Amino acid sequence: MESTKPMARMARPIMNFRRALQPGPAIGLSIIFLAASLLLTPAVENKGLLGDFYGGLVALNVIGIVIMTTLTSINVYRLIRQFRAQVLGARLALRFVVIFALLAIIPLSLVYYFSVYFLSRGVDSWFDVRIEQALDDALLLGQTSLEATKTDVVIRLHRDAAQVSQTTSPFGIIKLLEELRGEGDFSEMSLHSLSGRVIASSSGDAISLTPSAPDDTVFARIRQRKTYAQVEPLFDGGLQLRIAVPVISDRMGDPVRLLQGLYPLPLRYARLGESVQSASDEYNRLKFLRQPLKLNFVITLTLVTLMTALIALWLAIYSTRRLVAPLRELAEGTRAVASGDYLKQLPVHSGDELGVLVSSFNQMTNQIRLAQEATANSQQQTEAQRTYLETVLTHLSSGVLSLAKDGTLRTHNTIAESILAVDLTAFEQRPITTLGDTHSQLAPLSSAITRHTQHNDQDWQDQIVLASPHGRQTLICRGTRLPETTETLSGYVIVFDDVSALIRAQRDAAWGEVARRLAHEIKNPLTPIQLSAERIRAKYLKHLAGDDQATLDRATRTIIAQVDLMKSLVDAFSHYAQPMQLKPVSTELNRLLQDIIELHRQNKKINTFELDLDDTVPLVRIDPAGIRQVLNNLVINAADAMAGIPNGRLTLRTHQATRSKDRSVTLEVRDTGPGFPQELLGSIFDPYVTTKTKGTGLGLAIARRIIEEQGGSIQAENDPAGGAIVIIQLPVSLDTKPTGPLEGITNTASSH
Amino acid sequence: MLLASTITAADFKIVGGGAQITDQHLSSHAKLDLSLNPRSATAIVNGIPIIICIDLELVQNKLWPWSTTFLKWRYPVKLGYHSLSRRFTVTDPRKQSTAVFHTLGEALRQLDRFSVIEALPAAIAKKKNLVVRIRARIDTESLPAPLRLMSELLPPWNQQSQWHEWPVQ
Repeated sequence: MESTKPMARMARPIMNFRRALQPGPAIGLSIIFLAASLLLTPAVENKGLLGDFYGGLVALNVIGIVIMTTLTSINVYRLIRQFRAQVLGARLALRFVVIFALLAIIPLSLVYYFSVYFLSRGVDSWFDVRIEQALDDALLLGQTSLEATKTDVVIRLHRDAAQVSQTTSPFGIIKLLEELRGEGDFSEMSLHSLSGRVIASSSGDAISLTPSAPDDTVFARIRQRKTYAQVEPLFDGGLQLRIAVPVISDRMGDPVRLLQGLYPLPLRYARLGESVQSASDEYNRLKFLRQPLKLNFVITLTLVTLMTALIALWLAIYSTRRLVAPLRELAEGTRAVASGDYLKQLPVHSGDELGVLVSSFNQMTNQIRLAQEATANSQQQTEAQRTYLETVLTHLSSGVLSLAKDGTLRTHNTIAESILAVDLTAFEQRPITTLGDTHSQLAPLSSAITRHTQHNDQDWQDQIVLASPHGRQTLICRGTRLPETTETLSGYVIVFDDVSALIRAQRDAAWGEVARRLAHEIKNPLTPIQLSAERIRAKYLKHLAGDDQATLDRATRTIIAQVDLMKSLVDAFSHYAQPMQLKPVSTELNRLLQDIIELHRQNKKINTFELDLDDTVPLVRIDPAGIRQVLNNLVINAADAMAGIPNGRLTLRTHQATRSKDRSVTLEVRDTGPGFPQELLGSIFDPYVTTKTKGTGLGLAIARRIIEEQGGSIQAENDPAGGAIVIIQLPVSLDTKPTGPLEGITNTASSH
Repeated sequence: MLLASTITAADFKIVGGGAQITDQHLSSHAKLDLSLNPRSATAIVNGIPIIICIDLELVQNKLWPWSTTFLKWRYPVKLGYHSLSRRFTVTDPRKQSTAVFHTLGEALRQLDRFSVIEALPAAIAKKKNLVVRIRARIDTESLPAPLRLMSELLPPWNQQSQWHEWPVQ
């Protein structure tokens, strides 16, 4: 929160500044500045009030130019920055601005150039040497005419001065001045001492009390005994001659005096003179003002041109922005749609063609969005169905393979991998025949599938027997040809089940039934047979002698021995057929193994006992007596197998199974004997299958039954280095402590 | 020749002066030293009259930095050239008179002595700490339009003296 405050403070002036760049205020400013520049034209001609505010208008225009230059520069800078940042539409906007600017500025520059040129030439054309000379001549003529009048008046005043000099009486002088003024048409006549005192005066203006005093220049001329004559303009218009002459008396001792006469020039004469002077002055004034006037015109023209150019440039930028904005938005929208954003909707600013285009774009994205949603829903449903199907296939107890029409493996479920013990993922998108090529035990399966697919069989079913290293595996395999709706969906579905366990169970059940019948049908007559044989032996053996006695003895002994053998055989079958009474408890397997081995230490057939026990194996949930029976059988079988083989070694190894999904402990019983015959490897755990000359052939069958009854598994294989290996998987107990004491367990094992 | 001999330094100065109030009348006088720059003098000879204004203000000094101006007077005098008689003229509207001079220097010297008597309102005449301020300047507003812009930009056309003030006796 703290960090956002300075940002907000910074953002506020930026927003204000941007607001200042908005078209509204800028257009208002443009109108004001344009009006100010237009007002310069009448102002420079000094028309009325505008002439008085010319300087202010110039200043306003300069300010306007500065503001418009700033605004335009900012806009151009932003445009260039956007162009460099490759913002959408910036290139087009810059191009439009340049074109608009050139279209505005080039003609404006040409007009400006020629305007300045013709203005300068026009002002210069006002002045002509001949006119100037004529005006000078006219002025000189006026001055000459005035000089003639002045000379005439001076002569008359000298004559008057002579009369005044003859007069001594003050009243006589006043009277004389009155007469002379009237006769000479003077407006005023006055007599002054050289000290400036007024001696006498006469004036035509009754209001004027004092005569017009001559200045120091006049007195200086008179002191030099010279005449002063000068044309003077009057305050209220008109001209007058001021003439002063010295009054020198013939009488000795009289001081020199000054006689001044003011002679108004005739009105018509004065007007003509003023007219000539006015024309001359006007011409001289214009001549003097020529450069400033041209400068004013040029400044005005420059300001107007600059202002117009800047406003045109700004309008070009503004128009370009307005023109390009929908195009840029369209480009952004198109890019958004291309990147998958179908929710993009653009604002419609106008009802022109661009507005229609934007509306069409919005409609298009809307339709795409609806289609996209429908597709997504469809995909979702498909995905759900696919997930459901995969779930069903995964939890099927049957293996499922799907093949393309050309026999390429497309998909499979995990049970298929489990049944076939092969990573089928590596074979996907490869012909099913490669499965048999790389795994020879699967060749019957791949060849059966290939055969049916090549024949394009609609539905088929085969029983396939695979010879795996762990024994024979029987599969019931069913195939179906899929309907050829599309190329991708056509092909075959293969479903197979591992019925090995089922067949084995059926076989076990059959053997159980046989055992039960044997026990019932055979064991019952054996006892009377044995008793009868013993009775015959007891009753008749002592009565016979010689060869007869020996024959009877041998025959009855054989009968009794064979009956015993048959009894034990029947007992074994009976035991096999009876349900197991197992009591699984949590047991330390390693300790149990050590106990069992100790019982067999004295077995001379086994040279070496080796225990490779993993201390970390958890407790297993087994019936110790049953496991002891199984292991006794396996140890005795191994000892029998290694009889006569020097350095026979029996190895017991435990470790925790890691590959199996369920937690289990693996127990391996390994000998160095000749191993299992390869042809019996698949049925070694079946009843009545044995490699011994003696025995019931039920030992391994019972062992398998005990193990499987406790949730374990057992399998046999040959060690490539020599010898047989029996591998037992036992379930792990959830308890952490043994619940069944090993002590007290009796050795019930027996070899069959 | 006329101009060169009369114009020495283009400057307007107030050399001295004084003021006093008597019977609700302000009597003020000043000694001026006026000289025009050659550009202005040439303009006069070419028929462009120059109006020199004497600005007079009656203010009251106070403790704070700025003062209160009670009254303002403006006394324009037009300097011109009469080409028909080849004489410089000084026209004073206040005196309703036109004086004629051989040279511009003589005409300017005519303006050296300035004196005026103005009636005052009684309320102002009674105030204390009154000060008279005076200044001489060329009235640029009266110049022809082409010269008016230049007068704003170029110093020769914008001649004026500093304000000179003295207490009212």
